[in-house]
Amino acid sequence: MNNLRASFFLAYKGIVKGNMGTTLLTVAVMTLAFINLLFLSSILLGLVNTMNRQGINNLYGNIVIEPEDKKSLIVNSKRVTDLVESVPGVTASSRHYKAGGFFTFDKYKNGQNVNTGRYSVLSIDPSVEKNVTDISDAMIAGDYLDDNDRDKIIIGKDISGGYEGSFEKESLGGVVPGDEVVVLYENGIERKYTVKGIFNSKFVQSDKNAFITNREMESILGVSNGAHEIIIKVDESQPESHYITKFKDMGLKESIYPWNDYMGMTASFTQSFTLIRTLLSAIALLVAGITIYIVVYINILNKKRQIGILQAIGIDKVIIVRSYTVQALFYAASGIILGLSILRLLLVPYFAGHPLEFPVGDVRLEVVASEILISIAALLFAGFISGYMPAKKQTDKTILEAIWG
Amino acid sequence: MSTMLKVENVTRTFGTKVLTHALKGVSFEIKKGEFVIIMGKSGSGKSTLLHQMGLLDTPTSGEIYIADKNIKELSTGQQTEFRLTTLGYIFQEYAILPELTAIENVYLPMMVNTKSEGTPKSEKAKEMLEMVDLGHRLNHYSNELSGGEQQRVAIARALINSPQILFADEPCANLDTLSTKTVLGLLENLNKSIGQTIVMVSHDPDDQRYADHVIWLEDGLIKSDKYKIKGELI
Repeated sequence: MNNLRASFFLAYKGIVKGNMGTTLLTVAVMTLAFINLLFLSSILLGLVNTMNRQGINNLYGNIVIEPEDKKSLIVNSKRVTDLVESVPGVTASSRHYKAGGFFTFDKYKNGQNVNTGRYSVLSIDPSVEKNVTDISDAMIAGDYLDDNDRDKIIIGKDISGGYEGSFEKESLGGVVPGDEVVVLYENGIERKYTVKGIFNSKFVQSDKNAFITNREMESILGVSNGAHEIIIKVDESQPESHYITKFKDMGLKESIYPWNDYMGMTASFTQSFTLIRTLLSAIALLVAGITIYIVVYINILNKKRQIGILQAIGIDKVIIVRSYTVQALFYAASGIILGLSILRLLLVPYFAGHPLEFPVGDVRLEVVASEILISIAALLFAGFISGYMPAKKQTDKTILEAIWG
Repeated sequence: MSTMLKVENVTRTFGTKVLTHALKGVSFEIKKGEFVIIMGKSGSGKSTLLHQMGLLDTPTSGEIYIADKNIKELSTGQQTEFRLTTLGYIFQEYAILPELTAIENVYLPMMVNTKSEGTPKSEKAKEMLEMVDLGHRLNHYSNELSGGEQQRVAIARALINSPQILFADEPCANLDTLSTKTVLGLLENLNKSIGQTIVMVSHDPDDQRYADHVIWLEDGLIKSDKYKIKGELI
């Protein structure tokens, strides 16, 4: 107990009466090391989460129901939506038809400046869709669809063009609400639509879609009460697998998938980003560890005579090593506290107000508790090693070597 | 008087390829309560001898007994404990810790000494500093103390655990005349008043007047080993 007190006493005095400039510099380095450990990793996590959230909010919901094997359509989709919505935790569902369409846009209606493109056309029940996806909130020009619309279409900014989208050159070159586009469907039916609105979900995969009403699509396809897919929103208190099991238990024969099964491209991004995050964290940790080691090592080199004197007057080397380890841990802990404060009080609010704009959406810093805990543990471990190793090395020398060099 | 320290044929050789024989076989005895001065020219081996006796270094061969213990038989941990509880050491340079106040420097060895548990530590440290006439400098740091005052703090620190033997390695080498007189007077007073056994290394022949046992070293060997009897070294 006395030895422990002596270690903390020496560490305390070393910090309080040590060179204030060195102490502040060390704490500043630790602070930056901690921020470095979390910052880039948080940006990448924000990017991954944004991609995933965009997929859920604009394309797939949480769960997608597709037709049974070897069938092209879900028949009696009302039966399916009623069934899934009866499950506690399911907040909404929406049926979609999907069709490929060849778009033609003759801006000046003179046949001389005609833009064309092949895009996906999805059909929705507009009022129901509002409960499942965020397309209705993403309108940047014109209006969202009404349930009774037949000759109206809404298109993403990557179809309309004119909004500096990711695929501007492949767009129709500047469609505005009120313009007319002609869509030739795969079954040979051609329809002329007035563009009712243009949306920008900030997610490149959904901004290349167009939407019409289910009523219109059913007239094109010659079907009713069907769907190519039903997307379902749940309250996320339970994993998607929980709901999928429930649906199957209730006798649904259709194919049911969680949203992430559709995120093929983003899934590979996610995997790569996770790897990059791990690598960057490891490098940041190594840099932090080496930095603390150098700082403590130089500190110990400057105090090697004192260490020798302490040993000469009978102070156990364990006390000495522990005191320097405590000092290193203090620097690491101070860096953690300051770094965390800067991150939570400055950087996170700043990026929440000024998100980074990526083609997949607005990216904010995502600092998660588990990463914080891992970073804290990692930096403390680095601090421990960096304090312990040089102090141990120094006290393992003979007393005279320590005193006289 | 009982024997406090016994040195038997101690040698110390430095180096691996080129060997330097700092001590070539030194033997002597020191009785309890003696004030011993080890004298000799620079390079005679006197500091090396003190380092062996103070457990700061290990002899190449030979035996050293302190308070009937053969120090060669002590483990590293026991040696640390021995330095803490049985020996006191004063260095040539001012060797107090700059981050601690005078009283904290003195208090520290007592803090870790389990044998002193129950003794009011800060009171004892204060007493020791008052004994070396530094009662008014308790909370001063080394940069606020003169060289002589720092050396007196080191003496108080060396005495805090009531060592059986006090080693001093040219404690006045860096002090002015007045401080030298004060420090040596203090050591003499400790020896006379409480019978503190003191072994001091010095190169100044004038210091012999404080001693009752003078050992002269030359080229790593004892040139003379004399006791003061009726004011004369015999």
